[in-house]
Amino acid sequence: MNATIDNLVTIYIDGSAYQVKAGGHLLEACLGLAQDLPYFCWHPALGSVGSCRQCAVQLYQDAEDQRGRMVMACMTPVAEGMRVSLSAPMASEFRQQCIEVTMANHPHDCPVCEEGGECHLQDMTLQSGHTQRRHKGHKKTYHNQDLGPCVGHEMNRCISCYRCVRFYQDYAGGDDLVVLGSRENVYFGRHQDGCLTSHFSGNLSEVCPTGVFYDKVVSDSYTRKWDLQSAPSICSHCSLGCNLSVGERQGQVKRVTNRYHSQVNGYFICDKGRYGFAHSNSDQRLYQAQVQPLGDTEKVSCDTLHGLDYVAQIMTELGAENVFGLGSPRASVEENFALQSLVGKANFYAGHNAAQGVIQTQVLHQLTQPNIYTPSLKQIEQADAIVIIGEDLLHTAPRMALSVRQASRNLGFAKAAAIGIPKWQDEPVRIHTQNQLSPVISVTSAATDLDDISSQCIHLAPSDMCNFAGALASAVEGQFDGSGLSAELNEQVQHSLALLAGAKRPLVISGASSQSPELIDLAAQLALALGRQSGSEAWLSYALEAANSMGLGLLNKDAKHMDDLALRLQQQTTPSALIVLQTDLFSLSTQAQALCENLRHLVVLDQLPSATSEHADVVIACASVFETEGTYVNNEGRAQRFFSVHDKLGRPDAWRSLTHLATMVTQAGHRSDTITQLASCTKFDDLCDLVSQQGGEFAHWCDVAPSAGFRIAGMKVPRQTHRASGRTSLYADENVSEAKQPEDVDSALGFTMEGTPINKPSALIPQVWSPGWNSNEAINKFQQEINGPLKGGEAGVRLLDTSPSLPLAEVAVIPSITLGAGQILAHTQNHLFASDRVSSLSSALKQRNTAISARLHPDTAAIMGLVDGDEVCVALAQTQWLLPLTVDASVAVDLLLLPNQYQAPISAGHLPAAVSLSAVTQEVN
Amino acid sequence: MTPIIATDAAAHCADWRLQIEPLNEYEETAIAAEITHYPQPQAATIEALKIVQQQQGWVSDGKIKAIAQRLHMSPDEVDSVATFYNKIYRQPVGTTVISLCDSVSCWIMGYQGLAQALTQELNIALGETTADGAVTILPTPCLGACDHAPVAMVGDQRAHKLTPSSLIELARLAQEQPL
Repeated sequence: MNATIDNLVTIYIDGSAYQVKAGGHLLEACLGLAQDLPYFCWHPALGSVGSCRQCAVQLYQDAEDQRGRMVMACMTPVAEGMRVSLSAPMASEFRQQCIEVTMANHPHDCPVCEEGGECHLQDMTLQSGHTQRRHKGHKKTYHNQDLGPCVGHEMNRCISCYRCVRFYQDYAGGDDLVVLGSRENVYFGRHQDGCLTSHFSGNLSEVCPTGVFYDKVVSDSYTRKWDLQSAPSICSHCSLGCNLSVGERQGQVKRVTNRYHSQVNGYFICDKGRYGFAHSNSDQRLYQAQVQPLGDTEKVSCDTLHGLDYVAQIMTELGAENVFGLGSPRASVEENFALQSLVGKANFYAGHNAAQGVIQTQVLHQLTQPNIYTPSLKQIEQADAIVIIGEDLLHTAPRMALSVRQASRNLGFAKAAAIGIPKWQDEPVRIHTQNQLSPVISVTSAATDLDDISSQCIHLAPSDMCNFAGALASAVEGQFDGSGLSAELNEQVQHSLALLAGAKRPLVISGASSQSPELIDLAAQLALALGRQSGSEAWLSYALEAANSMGLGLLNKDAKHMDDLALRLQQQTTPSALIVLQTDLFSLSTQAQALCENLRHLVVLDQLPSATSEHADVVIACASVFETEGTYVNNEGRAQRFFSVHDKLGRPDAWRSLTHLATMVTQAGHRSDTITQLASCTKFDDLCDLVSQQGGEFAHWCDVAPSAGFRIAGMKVPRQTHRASGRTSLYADENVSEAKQPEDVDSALGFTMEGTPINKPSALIPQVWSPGWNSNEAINKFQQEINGPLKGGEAGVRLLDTSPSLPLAEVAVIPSITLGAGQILAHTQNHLFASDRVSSLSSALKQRNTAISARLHPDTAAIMGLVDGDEVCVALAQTQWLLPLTVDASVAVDLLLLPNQYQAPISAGHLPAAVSLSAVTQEVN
Repeated sequence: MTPIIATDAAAHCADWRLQIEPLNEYEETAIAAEITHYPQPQAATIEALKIVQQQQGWVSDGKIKAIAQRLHMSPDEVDSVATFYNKIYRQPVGTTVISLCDSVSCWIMGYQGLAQALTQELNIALGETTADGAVTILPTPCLGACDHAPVAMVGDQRAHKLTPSSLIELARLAQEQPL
C-alpha cells in the first residue's frame, strides 16, 4: 500500500467524509479542511493545552449514536472512522456560552483598541453567534504596565488564554513576562514596570488574540489594518530573509508584521525586523540628487536625471575602464547586477573587507560541496544535536536562535512519543520530559542568551575556537589523540564528543561575525565528520553578514572586495571614479580614507547620508527597501522577492537609476555588451530576464516570483484591502482633486483595492484576510495544511541545491594579527539593536540599545589593573574610543570585546585587531 | 570623536539586582538547606518564600528579588509563584491573620453572619488590618473542613463550627496578644 495513504484517516464531520493526516488533532484537521471552528488557546506553533474550551465539538460513538458527547477538538486525536459534529446544538451553544463568559469582563473599547478590525476575539465572538451582552455587573479593571518602547499593555482586555506566556517563556525562552495571581484573578505582566528583554517580544502583539499586548510603535501613529496599503517584503536586517508584510498610509511606512513562510520564519520574527522600519520615514533621508562640480566646495541639489547626467559625463570623460563599482551585501541582487553590468565584471568589487570577502567565497564553496546540505530554519528545528561555533545568534541571526531553541526540545518530543504522547500535547510533553534537552554545544567568546538551553557552553578566544573545532572534527573521525591542546580544552572536546555520540541529525552552525575564514572551513569539516558519523548528509548553516551577502557572493564569485579595490586604485595611474551602492566605506575598512584620496570622483547611490556620501561629489538618492522591488538571497541560498509598498516618492529605484545611466552612457558612444543590455531594460522584469541569462545559480531567476504580467481574472493583485477608506480625501491637503492611482509596471501588484483578496500566489500575499477571519489567524485559510506550505506553494527558489560545487576563489591570505607590547586582541560583541545605520534610526530600538561597554575577563582585567566600571580608552592606530568597562567572568581570557555600535570610532569592520587599552584617569584640579 | 552614551532607556531597563533587599543570616542558611533537597535550586521557591514570610511576616518586592538571585531565577518567575498562593502575603499583614472561608459549605452554614459580626467588631473591612496592626481579615476559598462548617483559620489554628460570638471571642483573644 502507498505510504501516504497509510498516513491518512477518514473522519466524518457533520456527515461528510474527509481524509485527514493521522497523528494530528481534530481542531487542526477541521481548520485544515477550511471549516470554521473557534479557538483561543491553541496556536499552530505552540500546540494544545485545552484551556479555553472554545473548540468544543460533539463526538459520536458510531453511525447509530445520536446523542454523542462533547470533546475539545484541540485535545482530541483524529482516529479512523471518527464521527463529529461542529454544528450540533449542544456544542455550538456551549461555544456561545463560553464566549459570553469570556466577554463578561472584556471592555467594549473596540473603536479605540489597536486590535479592532483585526481581532481574533472579535472574529471568534461573531463566529460563535454570541451577539447580546446579558451580564449587568461591573467589569474588572487592572493597572497597565510600561513594558518598554515596543510593546504596549492594556490588561483590561485580557481573556486569560495564556498564549502570551506560552510564547514568551516556553517558545522564546524569556523569563520576564509571567502570569501573576491565580483563579479568576490572574495578571499577565512583569514583576514591575520595565522593558521586556526578549528579542521576540514584538510577536506578543500577534500572538495575543485581542489587544492586551499591542504594537506600541504602530499605536503611536495608528492606522487600521484595512486602511493600510501593504506589500510582501523581505527583512533587510540580517541574512535569514524573514518574510514580512509591510503596511503604508500617506507615504509613511506604518508597521511591519510577520508574513508566514513555512520554511523560513513561520509565524514569528524578531524585534529588529518588526520595529526597524523607521529609516524609511526618517527626516534624514536623501530625497534629491546632489552634485558638487570639481573646484566647488559645496554640493547643490538637483533632480535625479540631472545627477545621473553628470555621472554619465564623468564616465564618458574618464573612459569605461577607469570607472569602478562597489556593490553592497545590503542591496538587492538586481541592484548589484545593474552596477556590475554598468562598470563591467572586472571593475566590480563587493562592499566588504578582506576577511568578509574570504568568508564569502568559503561559504559558497562549503555549501555547494556534494555532501553538505544547508537546512532552512524549519529544518533546523529537526536537528537532534547542534554545535554553534563563534556566533552569538540572538544578536546576529535571531530567528535562527529561535529555531535552535525549538530543536533543543527534540529529545523531549522523542521521549514523549515513545509513550504515545503526540508533539502537540504541549503540557504532557513538558511534564514528561522535564528539563531534558537535546544536546546544544555553544562555543562563543562570552555568555549568550542561548546558554540556558545549551548542554555545554564554552567561552573561547577566536584562535582557541579554531583549535576546538578542528580537534572536535578529528575526534569525531576517531583521529584525535589530544596533542597540541590544553588539558582543559581537551576535556571539553571529550565532553562534546560524548554529547554528540548518538546524534542522528546533527547540525553545525557558524557564521561571518567571527571574521574568521578558518572557522568557516573548520565548521564545514566538523559538519562533514558528524554527517559521516550519523550516516547522513552533513547539515551546516552559516549566519552571514547582511540580507543579500549570499546574492552578492554569487554575482561576485571571484570575491573581489574593497581592500582589493584600494590596492588597485593605488596602482592606477589614470584618474578614476567609483560608484558606491548603499555602502559606508568608513565603517568597513581602515583603508577607506586612502581609497577616497585616490579617486577623482566618488558617486554614491544611497537612501541615507553616511560618511561616504559626505566625501562624495555626486549623491543619487534611492528608494528604501519598501519603495522598490528586488531580490535577496538568504543564508541558505533562497532567493526571495520584495515589492514596493508605496509610490509616494515616485520610485527612485537604484536599479532604475543604473539603467538610466547605462542608456545615457550608450548614447554617448559606449558600446560594451553589458551596458547595452542594461540600457535596454525599462522594466524590472527586463532586468530579471538579464539576471536569469547569467545562467548557473541564476537560471531560474524568473521563478522567484510571478512577473509583472501576472493577473488573476484579468486583474492585478491589490495592495489595498477591499474596504480601504478615505481614498478620495487622503491627499486632500495637497490637492482636492483625487489623483490617479499610480501604475506599477514593475510588479503584478497594483496600488489599488480592485482585485481578489484570496487565492494569490505565495510570493504575492500583501496581508492575510479571509471572510470572517480579519486577524492574522486567517493564515490557516492560506495553508495547504496547518503548519504546512502555503496553497500557492513555497515562495522563492533555493539556488544552491542544484549548483555544482563552487571552487574557492583565489584570494589574498589575511595576515594574522600580532600583538605588540601591552596590546590585547579586540573582537566584536554584536548587539541586535545597535549594529547598523538603518536600525539606529528607529527610536524604539534605540531605546533598547543599552549597556554599551567594553568587556573583559576578571583575570585579564586584574593583570591590566582595571576594575569593573572603569572608564577606559581603547586605541586602534590613531583612533581612540572612550567607553565604560564591564568585567564579566564569561568572557574568554586575554580577549577584549568591543560593542558593535553604529558610528562607533572602532567598528566591526576594523576588528579583530590588536588594540591598546588603558584606564582614563580623571584630572584632579 | 565623541563617545557613544546609553540613552535614557537604560533607566527603563533598570537592573533589578540593584533593588534587592538582602536575605538575613537565618533566611540565607535556611534557604541554602532547602536547596540541597532538590536537583534544581528553583524547586525550593515555595520553601524560600515560606522562610522569608516566617521571618518578616510577609514577602516584600526586595525579598522577592533576593530569592530570585539566590535561586538563579528572574524576579518575575518568583513573583509568579508567590502570587499564586494566597497564603504567601505580598503586602504587610497583622500579627494574626483570620482567614474566613467563603466557599459554598461555609456560606450555607452562616459565613455572611460571621463576616458581618467580625468586620463590625474589628471595625475593618475584609482584606484590611486593624489600626493597631494586630489582626487582618482575609476571605479564603475552602479550608478543607466542610464537615465542620463554617470554619476559619485564626493564625495557624483552624476554628470549627463558628458562631458570630465564638468568632468575636477568638478575634478579641488575638487582639489582646502582644504585637
